[in-house]
Order: sequence, then structure tokens, then C-alpha cells
Amino acid sequence: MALRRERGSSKTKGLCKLAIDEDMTIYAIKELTDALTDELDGYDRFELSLAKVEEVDSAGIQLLLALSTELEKRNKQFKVTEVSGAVSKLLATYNISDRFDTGAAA
Amino acid sequence: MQNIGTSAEVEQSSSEASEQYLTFMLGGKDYGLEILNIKEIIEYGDVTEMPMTPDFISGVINLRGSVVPVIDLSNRFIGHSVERTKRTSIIILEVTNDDLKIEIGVTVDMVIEVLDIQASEIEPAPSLGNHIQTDFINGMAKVDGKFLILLDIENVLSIDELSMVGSIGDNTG
Amino acid sequence: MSDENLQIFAEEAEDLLAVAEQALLHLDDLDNPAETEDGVGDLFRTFHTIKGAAGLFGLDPIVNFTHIVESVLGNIREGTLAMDQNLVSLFLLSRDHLENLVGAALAGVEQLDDDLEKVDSDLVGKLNDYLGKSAAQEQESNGPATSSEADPDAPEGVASTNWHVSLRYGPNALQNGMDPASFIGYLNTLGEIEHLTLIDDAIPPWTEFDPENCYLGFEIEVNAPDTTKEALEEVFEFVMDDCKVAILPPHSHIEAYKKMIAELPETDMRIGDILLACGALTDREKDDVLNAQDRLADEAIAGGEDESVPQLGSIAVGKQVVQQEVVDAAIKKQSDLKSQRENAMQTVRVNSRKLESLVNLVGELVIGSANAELNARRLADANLNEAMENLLRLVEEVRDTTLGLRMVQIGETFSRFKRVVREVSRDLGKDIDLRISGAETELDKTLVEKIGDPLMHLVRNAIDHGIESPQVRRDAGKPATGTVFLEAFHDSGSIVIRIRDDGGGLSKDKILNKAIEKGLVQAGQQLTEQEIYRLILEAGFSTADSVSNLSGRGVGMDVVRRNIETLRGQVEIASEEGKGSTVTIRLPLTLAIIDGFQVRVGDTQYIIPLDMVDECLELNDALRSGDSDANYVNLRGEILPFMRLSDMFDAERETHDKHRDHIVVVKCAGKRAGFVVDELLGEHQTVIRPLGKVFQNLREISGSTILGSGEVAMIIDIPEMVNKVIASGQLDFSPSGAVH
Repeated sequence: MALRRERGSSKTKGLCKLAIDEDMTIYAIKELTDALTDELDGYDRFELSLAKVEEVDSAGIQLLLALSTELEKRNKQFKVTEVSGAVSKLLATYNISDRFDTGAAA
Repeated sequence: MQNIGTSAEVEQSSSEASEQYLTFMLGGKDYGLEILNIKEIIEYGDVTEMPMTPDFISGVINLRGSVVPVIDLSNRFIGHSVERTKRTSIIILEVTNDDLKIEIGVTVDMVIEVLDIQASEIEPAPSLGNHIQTDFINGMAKVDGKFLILLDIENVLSIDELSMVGSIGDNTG
Repeated sequence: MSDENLQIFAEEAEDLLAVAEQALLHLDDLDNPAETEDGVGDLFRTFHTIKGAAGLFGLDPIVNFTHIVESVLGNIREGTLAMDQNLVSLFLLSRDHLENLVGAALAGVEQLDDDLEKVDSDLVGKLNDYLGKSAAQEQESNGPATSSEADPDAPEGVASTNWHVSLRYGPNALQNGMDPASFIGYLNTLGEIEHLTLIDDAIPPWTEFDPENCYLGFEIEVNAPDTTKEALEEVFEFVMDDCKVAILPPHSHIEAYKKMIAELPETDMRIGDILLACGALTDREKDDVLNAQDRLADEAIAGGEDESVPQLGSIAVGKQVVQQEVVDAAIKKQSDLKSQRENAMQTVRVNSRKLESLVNLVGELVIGSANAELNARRLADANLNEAMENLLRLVEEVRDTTLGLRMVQIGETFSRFKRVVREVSRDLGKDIDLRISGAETELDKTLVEKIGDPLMHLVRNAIDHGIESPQVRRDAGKPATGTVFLEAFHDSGSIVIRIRDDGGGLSKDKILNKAIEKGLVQAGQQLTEQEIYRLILEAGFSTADSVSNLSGRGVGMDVVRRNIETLRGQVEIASEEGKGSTVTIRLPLTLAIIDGFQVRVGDTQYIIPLDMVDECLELNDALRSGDSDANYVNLRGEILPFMRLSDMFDAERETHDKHRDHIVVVKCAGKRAGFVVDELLGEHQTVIRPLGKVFQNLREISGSTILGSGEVAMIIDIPEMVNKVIASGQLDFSPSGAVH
């Protein structure tokens, strides 16, 4: 499974910790989106780790953008906790690194 | 009259110097035409007259949808038409003009048979003593004691000559 | 590559080259910078498309050559090079050369022959000269592009020294493998991306979000002083289908930004902010752009126009700021391509031979149905006859539709002459204007193909012999610029093509002397004006005092006449010395199927083209003016010359008691005449069968047809016969005489 719920997720705390371990490319994007959809209800805060994403393309970035916009609209917190080199590079190319609050700052 | 034969139906002769001829009668004389140019033979009938054309043009017929001119051969050769009978036929020939194949029909009194004639049997046309123009004749062949006039179809049906019709028509009109 | 694909490429290239030629000739006419700009844009796209297609087929000589042409055009488009007459000529030559290259490609030639090679290198050399020139110009005007101040040379241009690239991807981009990231990466190799704003406004709510679709857009500032617009466009060439691209060069005119903004999906305010953030626009420029948009939008609303989005074109025209404006060609190309695709869906290329055989089949169908009708009528079965009637109506519709497929407008043929006029008049040092009317007139495609050469000859003649030199014209008190008119229109079942010039006209004396000299007429022979003019249509006739390199090629007017007569057409010449000449060509509309009117003369049935039939009357004593041998009747006070077809066609005149003569009144080219026939048989759908070479000189009969009964009927050549009737009438009574 491309999407993995990490330890520390808790319904009572309303925190959902997710990680994407595989590629975030057009080929996997549908599956990823469906998996994410299943997780969106029942939590107030979401944390997403992209540390293990080896390959990412614009579809992947677009998914991140869609997800963050959607959660914002639902008044939920969304944080990307870690990014891999590939993700970081593409976010920089698109000049949107600051939209995804990475690192331990938050 | 039924199709008597076309080049395809008649067995090719093995002798290299021999050619097949369709023989027919016209004004009491026997003539021969190389079978290669002949497409088919049909009964005389339903010829639409063409206005303002010389008498040697009988008119046109509808040959399976195409309009084919018909030449009155006896008129072309001897200047007057022969009375038409039940045996009068139209031989449809294919002649080439400017690389275009043109179908033309000629009327004959009666179609006789298809003959093999050896090249050696053919003599050049005598320059005198014939009632038709010499350049219409390719040669003479003696078959069964009778002389057969072999026609030069390219000259007989020379488009340039046949198509003088317009100027002739102008004078009559 | 399959031959078929190559064939399609060649056909498309041919079409495009024709478009290019038109665009070039159009340019030639114009001093209007806005239209010139449009024209250059069209040209650029046309050559670009050819290059793209040739690239697809690996036709390197075409790609390489087109590339250079395109570069020069690109420079013109960016304003670093000015379009002039020499360039137009060079592009015309380049166009011709491309035509040859396409021809060579079609013939499977891999290595250009020496001639082509030479032309190729000559043209490339000349084109490169322009490229060098424009680079130098650019250097001068732009200087090192570092200043952030407004360029003094372009007062209305924006301050930004960066290229602005605006991208809006379409939904299929990702699935088609067109990842925006790779384009941006490539863009980075051409210059430095100074700023990039990702636009995710188009991403829909999660429930509607399809992660495989692309919703992304970008506004990018690229610092690339050494690149060309063309180079930047090439980056996005492959994604044109999946992405809206706008590329604005440094210091682009503010109007260009306005135009771009108007075409972007986001609100003007949003884009304004983005452009400001990007550094594409300064604060003041942004306000400028947005205010203009708002104002125009307001005006549009106030004016009650449907479109609340202002038409950028109208802004540009309204403000008369077109000089420096960089047309947003990429978007235009995109929409052009789109409309091309839409057109392609609406039109189908069909092999003309297939069309031909369809027309033939419809001909058979018409004859077959006439035969069926004849037999059905004999059976006198009401149901059968009704079914037959329906069927016939359908057949008629099929016939008309099918023939319609072959009808094309003559305009394309006419436009070909623009270039001839341009070049020939220049060669001759004459100033000539070509005016075309009736370009939309339709005629059968086979006729169009065959009429081209005779028309070309006549047009050349008008330029060469007709129009005088500017000096002679001025001396004669005429405008120095001569005019050649090409007109086409329909007239009772014919198409009329007229070539008219306001030149020196024909000299009757000169023609007559020449004809006598050539032995065409006897000295002292009395000829009418028309007869004299017709002499120039005779073989071996040429009136020009000096043989220029244009005429005197051995093709004379007699060939023109013969060509037109083979098409069953007529040529007429009118002229007034000192004022000009008119050559009128009259051709049948189609060579396939016509509506005919069937009559009987003697034993033979004849067809008169229905379009030419005016009325049918019984020829009674009231019509005859006493003299029963007279060859005219008094038709409501008008002299109507007539002819008995039975006399003409050498048929027996019917004289029995019950017989009534009928007169068919026909009109053609404004002339009327009557033909007496034995019986009127009514309308007949006439499938024209050519009579062939044997009857090629029989001018009175234009063809034949097969009736439902299988009989052959002759089609009367009415224009020819009308002239005949009138000519024979003139011998018998004075033309001006009134009937008493």
C-alpha cells in the first residue's frame, strides 16, 4: 500500500499521521488519492511524511496542493512533516516550498 | 446475332507468322480484320442518327451506357450505303488515338468466320484495280480461291478524318 | 513512412504553401502595420506548421530550410526586422523553393540535385543576411538588457527586462506525459527563471478532483536576453495541444499584457497581483493594464454588448497602438490549431477519382431510374407509380448533392493570378492592380482545373499587351496604375468569366493588317468588329509589336480558344481603342449532369439545357408576320429570329394535318432565339455522355445522353446555335429593322 498510517495516529486526539512510501507519480496517483480520501474523515489534524518518496512529478505536487486546500476548507490542520530530496526539489522548482510547513518548526 | 468470337475466346495460333482475322462481307466482297482490335460484334439496331455529319457516319449507339459512334463502312469505302438486312451487324473495334482508346462501331453486311492467315499468304495490295482507297488496305490474302481484302483499321477509322464532320456539317447547315 | 502519409503531407504542405503565398501577396498590398503584423503572424505559423510536419516525416531539407525562413519571420514579428518588398520577394522565392522541396520529397529524392541545392544555398545565404542584420539591429536598440528603467525606444513597453511566459495546462497534459516540470526544467536551460508563480486556482474541491487531470498554471519570468521568441515557443511546441501558452518578450507593449490577461481564466485582479509579484509589471503598469480592462469591460456592458470580456483586438485598434505590440502568437496558434482540428472534423479529403466514380454511378442511377419509371408507367399500377415518384425525387436529390460535392469556388484559381500580376507587372515596369469579383462563384472542379491555364494566358496578355506603361498612360490622361479585372458570375446555366483591362485596347486596323499579312483574310474583305477581334483567336496570330519574354512563348490565343472550346465554352472579345479590352469566357456549369428539356425533331430526340429555355410556344400564324418563309417571328413586339431544327439537322419536315410546330425560345448571353421542333417532351434529367473525338468538331451538339428507353439523345449546344440563328437572320433582314 502506497499510503501508510503511522504509529501515533489517534482518533481520540484527532491526529492522523500518514506517510507515503512509494512514488507520487501519475501512475500511482489515483490509488493514492483514493487511499487518502478514506482517511480524511474522523480527524482534525493531519501529518504527512514524504520522506520516503523516491519519485514525484507534477501530479504528486498537484495532489498535495489539492489536499492542503481541501483540508484548509474543512478547517483541519495539515502539515507535511518530512520531505524527500525529490519532493523538496520539485517544491522548490514550483516555488511553493513555504506552503508546506516542513520540518520540526511547527 | 450472337457473339461470334473475340480474341480471348479464339485459340491462339501456334504459328508465329500467322494471325487471326475476322472475315465479313460488304457489298458482295469479302474483307478481313485483325481480331486483336475487335471487342465484340452486335446486331444492327437502335442507331441514333447524328445531325450534320457525313453519310458515312451512321450515328451512335448505346453500348451498355457508353455512346459509341457507328461508321457505315460501305459508305466509307464505296460512297453509298448498302441495304440493311437481318444479317447486318456492327463490329465494335478499339482504336488508339493520342494514347486514348476509342470504341467505334462499323457496319458490315454479314460476319462470316474467324480465319488463321499465314503471313506468307498475304500479298501487298495492288495499287490499281481496287474500288477502295489503297491506304485502307493492308494486303490481300487468297483463301479458298477467293480474294480477301485485309483492312488497315487505323486508316479506315482515322479519327482525324472521321472528325472532319463539323466542317462538312457546316456546309449543309 | 508510408507513401500515403507522405502524400497527405505533400497535399497539406501544398495547401499551406498556397496560404503562404496569399499571405505574402496580401502583405504586398498593405501599408497598414496592424494587418502586416497579422500577415507575418499567419506566415510564421504556416511555415512553422510545415516545418513541424516535415520534421515528423524526417524530411530534413525541408525542416532546415523552413527553420531559417521561420527565424527571419520571427525577427520581423518581434519588430527587430522590418518587412519590405525585397523580403516579400525573398519569401515568395523561398515558398517556391519549398514547393520544389516538397515535390522532391514526394518523389522520394533523398539527396537534392545540384539545381535545388544551389537555390537552397542561395536562399539560405540571403535569409541569413537578414538574420545577421536583425541581430545587429537588436544589439543596437536593446543594448545589454540590464537596465530596469523603461526602454526609451519603446515608451509604451513595460519596464521588465524578462521574458514573461504564461502557461495554463489542459486536463490531459499529465496523462499525455507532458509534465509541466520538464518544460520548466527545459526553460531553465534557455535562460534563468527569475520568478515562478504556480497557479492552482483551477484545482477543484476534493470530491471533484481527478488526480490524473492537470489543473496547474504558471506565470514565469525568464531572464534570457540572448534567446528568441521562436526558441521559447519551441520549448512548448509539443504541448500546444495540452497547454495554453503565452510568451511576451522583454519590454512588451502593455497592450500585449492586456491581451494576455484577457485570455487567462483567472480574474484580472488576481493576475495583476501575480504579475506584480513576479516582477513582470510595476505597480503603475499593473494599474494601467487593469484600468484599461475594467474601463473597456464597463463600456462593453454599458454598450449592451453580450460579451463582458473586452475584445483585445478592439482595444488595440481603438488605441491605435499596434506598432510595438507583440501578438500573442502562441495562443493564436493554439486556437488556430483547434479551429483547424474542428474544420478537419467537418471536412474529409476524398480522392478525386472516388468522387468521379460516385458521379458516374449517380449518372447510371439517373438513367436506370428513368428506365424504371418508363416501365412502371406502362404497368399503370398506381402504387408502383407513387413509389416510383418518391424514388425519382430521392434520386434527384442524390444527384444534386453529389454534383454539389464537385462544385468549388473559383476564387482560389483567381488568387493565383495575384502573384502573376505582381511579378509580371514588376518585370515590365508597369503598375497594375488586380481586382477580383465573384470569387465565390462555384463551378465544377474538373472545369476549374482545366480553365486555369487559359485564364493565366489571358491575364498575362492583359498585363503584357493590354496595360500600357505608366508614362503612356499618364500621357493619355489615364491613372498611371492600370487595372485588370477578373470577374465571375453565373448566367443561365453557364458560368461567365471575364478578364477586363483598362489598357490600350485592340487596334482593329493593326489586327486586320496583320491578318492580311498572314493570309488569314483577303484585303478588302468586309468584316464586322466582332469578326476582326476573333481573328486574334486564330492560330499563328500575335499583335504585340515587341515580343516580351512573357508572351511569344508559342502558346497563342488560338490555344486558349481551343482549350475553352474543348470545355464546350465560348470566347468573346470586346474592345475599345484607348479604353481597354474585355475577354468573356462562357462555360457550362458542369460536365456531368444537367436538367434538360427534351424535344423531338424527326425521329431523333434532343435535349436543350433547361436553364436556357425561356418559354415554349406553338408556332401559329399569329406569331408569323405573314411571310411563312420568314425566319423570325414577332413575339410580343420583339423580333425573335428562329430556325427549324429539322432544316438544320437535315430531318424531314413534318407536314401532316395534325402536326403542330412548336417553338422553344432560348436565351443565352443576353440573346434570344427560337428553335422549331416537332414535339415537346418535357423535362429530363440529363446525364451528359461525351461524344468523343469523332464528333469533336461538331459544334452544334455538345454531347449526348441516354434516355430511359435506352435510346441516345443529342444535347444541343445552345450558345453555338443561338449565334448561328442570329447570324443567319442578319443576312435576311436589317438588324435594326422593326417588325411591322
